[in-house]
Amino acid sequence: MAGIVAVAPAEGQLTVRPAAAWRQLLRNPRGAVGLAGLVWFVGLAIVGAILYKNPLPTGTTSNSVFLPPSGTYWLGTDQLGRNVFDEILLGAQVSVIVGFSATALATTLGAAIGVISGYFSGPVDSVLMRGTDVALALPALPLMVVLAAILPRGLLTVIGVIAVTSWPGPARIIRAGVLSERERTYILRERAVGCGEWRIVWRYILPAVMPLILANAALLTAVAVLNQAVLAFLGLGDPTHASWGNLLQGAFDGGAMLQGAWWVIVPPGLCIVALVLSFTLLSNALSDVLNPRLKAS
Amino acid sequence: MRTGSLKSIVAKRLLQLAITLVVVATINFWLFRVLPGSPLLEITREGRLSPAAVRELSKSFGLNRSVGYQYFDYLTHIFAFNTGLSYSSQEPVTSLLFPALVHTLILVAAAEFLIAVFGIWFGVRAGAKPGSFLDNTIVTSALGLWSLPTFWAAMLLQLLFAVLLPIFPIFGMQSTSSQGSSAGHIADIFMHLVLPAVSLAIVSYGQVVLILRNSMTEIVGEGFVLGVRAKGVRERKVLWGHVVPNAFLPTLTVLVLSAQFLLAGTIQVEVVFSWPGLGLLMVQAVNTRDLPVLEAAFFLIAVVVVALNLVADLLYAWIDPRIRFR
Repeated sequence: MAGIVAVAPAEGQLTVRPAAAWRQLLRNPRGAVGLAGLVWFVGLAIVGAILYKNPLPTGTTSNSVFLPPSGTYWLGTDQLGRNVFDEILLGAQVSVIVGFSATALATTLGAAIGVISGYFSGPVDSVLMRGTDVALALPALPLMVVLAAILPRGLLTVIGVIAVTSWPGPARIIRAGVLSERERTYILRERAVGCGEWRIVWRYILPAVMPLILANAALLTAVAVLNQAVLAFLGLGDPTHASWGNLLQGAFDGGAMLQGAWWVIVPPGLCIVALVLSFTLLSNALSDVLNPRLKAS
Repeated sequence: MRTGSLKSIVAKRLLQLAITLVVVATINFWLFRVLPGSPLLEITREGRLSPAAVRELSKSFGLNRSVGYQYFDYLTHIFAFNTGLSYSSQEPVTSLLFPALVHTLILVAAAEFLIAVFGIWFGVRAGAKPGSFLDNTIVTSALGLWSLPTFWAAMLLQLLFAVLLPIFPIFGMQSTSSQGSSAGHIADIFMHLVLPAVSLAIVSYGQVVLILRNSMTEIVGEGFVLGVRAKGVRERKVLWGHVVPNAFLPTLTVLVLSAQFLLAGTIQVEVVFSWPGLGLLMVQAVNTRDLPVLEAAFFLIAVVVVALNLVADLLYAWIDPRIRFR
């Protein structure tokens, strides 16, 4: 089989060489900004994990509550007298961890269902896709709220409920990609020379739909970071670990709004926006760079 | 959709709707009835009960019956949104649910109006000249707005326009002083509505404008537009007279579907502004462990979302014959 592939280069198979893709991604303004933001926040999360121990010390006197930014407290203090700057650094890891883990879970599940459904078609496909339709129709945030309210509080629950509500998107996208890939000449030829079905999926179909998977995963990570913040704000996150959402929830419940304590409200929100935007831009650039067929059209 | 007639599409969609709702009801059943402890744990946690009392309680909840019996019993109740009395207020759940639904729909309708006006205007502007400076600005700002956590956008607006510049009320749906159905009362509700509606609209606007811009771009690139231009029709007329009407269908669908994003966002906005809708009801039920209210509110939101999906699908099939006969 290998010999046949060697004499006839797989026409119709559009692959992207990794090195070229990297160069294009860095040259794409949205890609470069997104990647820079991603690296910055992962760095921030690592620095926060090294420098601080959870939980942070609270203020010693009642005078240290909601202090405005100053030389000592660069971003002021919160309702418990904690240093907001420290909290933001310490909280970065939760966003990054939840974003990546929930996406990894959802993408693996979605990709598995999408590939199986698209490649094996027939009754398997109908059952899986009807299931996906139903899951897609469920209201995501209310479902997350209900699940997180019933399950034990913690980071694992947060990751789980975000993943449970975000796999149908990738499943649909990947199935569509597989369907269009399956009928291409080079796949038919592989099958004709006796290549096994699973090998075709693993060796040809999966690499071909990888651009779709990656671009979608970047978008899912953005959504996961948002959802983690929302769950934390609604009091359904991990209450024991500092995160940007917890910071906002504590400040809101602690009366930061009425006090006009903008320094507890604005910076953590900006961090969430910047991280989410990084992933959104990255996804946008990835689909441009990794999808030569899209570009051609 | 391979089926030909509108009727069969309706039948298919209705079946799908029914299946989805049964799935939601089943999720509810497992979460609230079958998971260890509930609902007896909620009642008995206050103090230890004698085994006889526990048995009596189990019987009154039907917990001594088979799971299958309980399941069908549950289905009949949940489809009437009747999950019993609220633990915290001792009122029937339905009497809390429906006023809250009305308040939520007021908020969603106001936000939907804002999105329709601004989304169409900017979406058309951007899509008409893809790649232009205006297009890039609109796309980038839409991505930026999309990246805002809804609750945070709401907090910022509250901080700016209710606390630092006290133009609008900070929270609630009406002032305690104004009651009745006078014009003053309506104006009061309107003032309370502005900030929640704007914060709800801001985030979904990003989503809507991007989809509209893309469908506009597609239509601008089609042959008939070139033809109209070749006839010497003025650019403004080409845009609003020929391109926009063809983009109407995707626009309408996006707007109906965006009501779903709004319903999700409304939970966050209602919490920030203490707007007495379904979302606030749900979050309060979480905090007080008021399970009958929580499950019924979740089911009601699911019904509204699934129904909106159906409306969008049917509008699409009804207006555009190409969908039906493809």
